[in-house]
Amino acid sequence: MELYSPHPNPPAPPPPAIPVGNHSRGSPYPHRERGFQCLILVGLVSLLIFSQRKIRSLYTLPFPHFQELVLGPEGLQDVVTILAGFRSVAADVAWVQLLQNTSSGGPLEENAQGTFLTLKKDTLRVTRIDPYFREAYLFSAGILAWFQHVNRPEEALDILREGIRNNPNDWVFRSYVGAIVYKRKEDFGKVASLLEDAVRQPDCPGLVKAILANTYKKTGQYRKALNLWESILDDPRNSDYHARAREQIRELEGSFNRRY
Amino acid sequence: MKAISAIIGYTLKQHLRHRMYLTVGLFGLVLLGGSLVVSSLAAEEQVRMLLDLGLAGTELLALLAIVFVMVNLILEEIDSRSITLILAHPVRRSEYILGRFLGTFLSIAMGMAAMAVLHVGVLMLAGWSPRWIYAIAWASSLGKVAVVGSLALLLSLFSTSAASSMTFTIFFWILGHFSEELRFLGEKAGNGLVKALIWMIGEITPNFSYYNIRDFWAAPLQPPPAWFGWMAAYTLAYVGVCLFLSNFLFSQKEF
Repeated sequence: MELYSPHPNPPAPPPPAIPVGNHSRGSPYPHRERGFQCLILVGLVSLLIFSQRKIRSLYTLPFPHFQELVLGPEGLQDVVTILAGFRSVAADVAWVQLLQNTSSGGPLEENAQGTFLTLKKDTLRVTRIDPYFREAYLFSAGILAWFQHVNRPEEALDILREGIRNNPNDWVFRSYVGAIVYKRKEDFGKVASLLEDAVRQPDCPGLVKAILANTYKKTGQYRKALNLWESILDDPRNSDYHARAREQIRELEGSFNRRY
Repeated sequence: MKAISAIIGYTLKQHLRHRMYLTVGLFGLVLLGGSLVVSSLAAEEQVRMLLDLGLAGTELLALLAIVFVMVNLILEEIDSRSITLILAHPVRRSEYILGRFLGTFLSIAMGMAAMAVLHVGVLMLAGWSPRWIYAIAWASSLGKVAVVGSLALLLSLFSTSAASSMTFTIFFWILGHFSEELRFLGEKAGNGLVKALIWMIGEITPNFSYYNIRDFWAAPLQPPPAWFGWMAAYTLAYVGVCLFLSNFLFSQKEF
């Protein structure tokens, strides 16, 4: 006789808990596997430490320390951008702000109004963030040394000295220094020959070309001045100076026609 | 190996189908277009600015994307319990971690490559002639993204909230760019304890400034070729250590 059971089909007992993801393909020798893993970790950490030492010994990052940055009202912006890892962008933004501070609404000319009192500081702000920003040195030194209403060649020389220190192989800075020195002695022939070296560089700022063209004109070398203005007009990078170049070309051609 | 490649494929598909991936791509396009407008303010340095903004924008988007994705990668699966479905298959936890990391990294690398192609196109239109250093700078950014991604994964397993993991990862990102300064301050410090503390932080934090080749490619003194090899070894070792520790933390979790 069968005994009465309140549960004719009792539910099956739950299966034993299996740790998910650790249940299959496990090593039959867990201790050996753990030892192997420790070995891998030690190897990786050693490689990490050793490679870090090698990286530092083979190359030192060529940037000034934070204490050398020129921190004005935009100091926080510079520091935050550098800390986020975008140093070159920080230099570009500082450069645009420098251009805005020097902007006169048109191309910069030697007879431009304005004394550009903060120009040296603005330039050093750019070049302390990125010491290899060539155009910043050349552009500002050009304004400080050649602009009639500015005429602060000492500041221009300070900027160029920093440029030479950071870019010792770049001879354009030395030519520029020479040109400033001869300009102070009013030896414009020497000034022109030194600026010619700078203008031969493909990334020479339009401002320097305009200064050289004006020096040619001042010394009566009209043909050279005309050729240089024509080259400025042909260079799309110098678009700020195109209107001025057209004007000068018209003037110089007019004087040629009157003469011959 | 088969299990890892299957997880990589699954992760890659998951990311490429995600709406965020498309949004980031669109944002990248807007950023490149915006850099064209902004660079016109730089007068004769337009190409330089286009180059800098494009490379920086690519890296920034990749870093933000990898931090966001990596932090949520495993946390979301743990919360939704879908992780048990995957791990019920014959997959080791280490394989799962490695596959998920590599799949995410590959999807970000593909996005970065697409942005780089567009960027080079824009640069060439502006009169720039391609140089090898661009590829090196791009690869360095990729290395940085790999290190940040592995750190984000480790921190997401270390902490239980996505917000705190993201905050810690971004903190390491900034500290990584400050580590050279930190070392300099350490040299100046007189107190031995402070010196030791700074030294320790410097050793643990990845030195991200070395990955910014775009910042010093115009410097007169360039790193020797061996340096790049050591950078690759450093990146692999850092990522390896982070993944190893992530695997350890993940293996301690109960589902």
